[in-house]
Amino acid sequence: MDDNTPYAADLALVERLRAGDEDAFMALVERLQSSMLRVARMFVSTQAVAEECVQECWLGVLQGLGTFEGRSSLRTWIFRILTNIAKTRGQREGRSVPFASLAGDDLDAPAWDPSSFKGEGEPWAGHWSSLPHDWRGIPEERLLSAETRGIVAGVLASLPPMQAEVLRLRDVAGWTSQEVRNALDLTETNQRVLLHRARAKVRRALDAYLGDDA
Amino acid sequence: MTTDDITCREVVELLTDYLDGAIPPPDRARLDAHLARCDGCTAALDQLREAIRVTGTLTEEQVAQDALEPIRGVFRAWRSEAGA
Repeated sequence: MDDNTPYAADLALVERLRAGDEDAFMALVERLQSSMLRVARMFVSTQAVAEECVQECWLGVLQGLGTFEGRSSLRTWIFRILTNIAKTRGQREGRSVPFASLAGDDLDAPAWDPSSFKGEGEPWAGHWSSLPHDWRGIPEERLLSAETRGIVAGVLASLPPMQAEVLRLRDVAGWTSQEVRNALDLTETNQRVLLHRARAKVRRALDAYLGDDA
Repeated sequence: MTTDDITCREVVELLTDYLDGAIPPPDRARLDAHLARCDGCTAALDQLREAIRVTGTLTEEQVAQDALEPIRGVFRAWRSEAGA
């Protein structure tokens, strides 16, 4: 194997799967299953259908292992198979899901409260009228407390599905922007706008909660 | 506050791209210059970084083990069929 391919570790894992390593397979399933179910659920009508899509995806993954070339990460490749299955299934169900209903209709909204900036016609228009709170004074134990993390979890639960999934994959699971784009079949621009909106809401909720301490 | 031609209102919309290294070099240099002189935008960038860090401490919900058994079944059927 060529160790210089970017996804050498994934190719090694694929070899173990092809050799029938059940533990390696189940560890992979455990890591990806909850995101896979959420992603499938975006495109189909019920949780049961989403579960069928995920099961069909795993079979497709196993049957296609020989075609995985390591040109993308394994998890990206798996999600591409999944979104294809789920979208096709959704279409067959006669369920067409407009992008806006997944992505949210607030993608053009400003990340920051417009009243934080000086208005047109004022001197220094577009610059801060009141400076953001300086969070650097917030103690680490407060910033990472269960309550603060609960605020973020609450925002995550309230986001439109595609904003939530991009935020989860990027900032909770640590995927790269390219992986997320490929996995969810998003354009570069859409991936970044979705992430920007989702992060803006997290930041705003945290500021409302922590701002008085800053 | 600065006299450059990019406003703070515009800067805050670019911070996700900025952190992703997705801003082309000339614009990035302009943004760096703005941030170097603007306490407000520096605080905004710091807030965004901290928001990302707190989000990163959340954990993926785990699917119950028995819900994974059908997938194990898929694997075993595939393995016996493939003769692996």
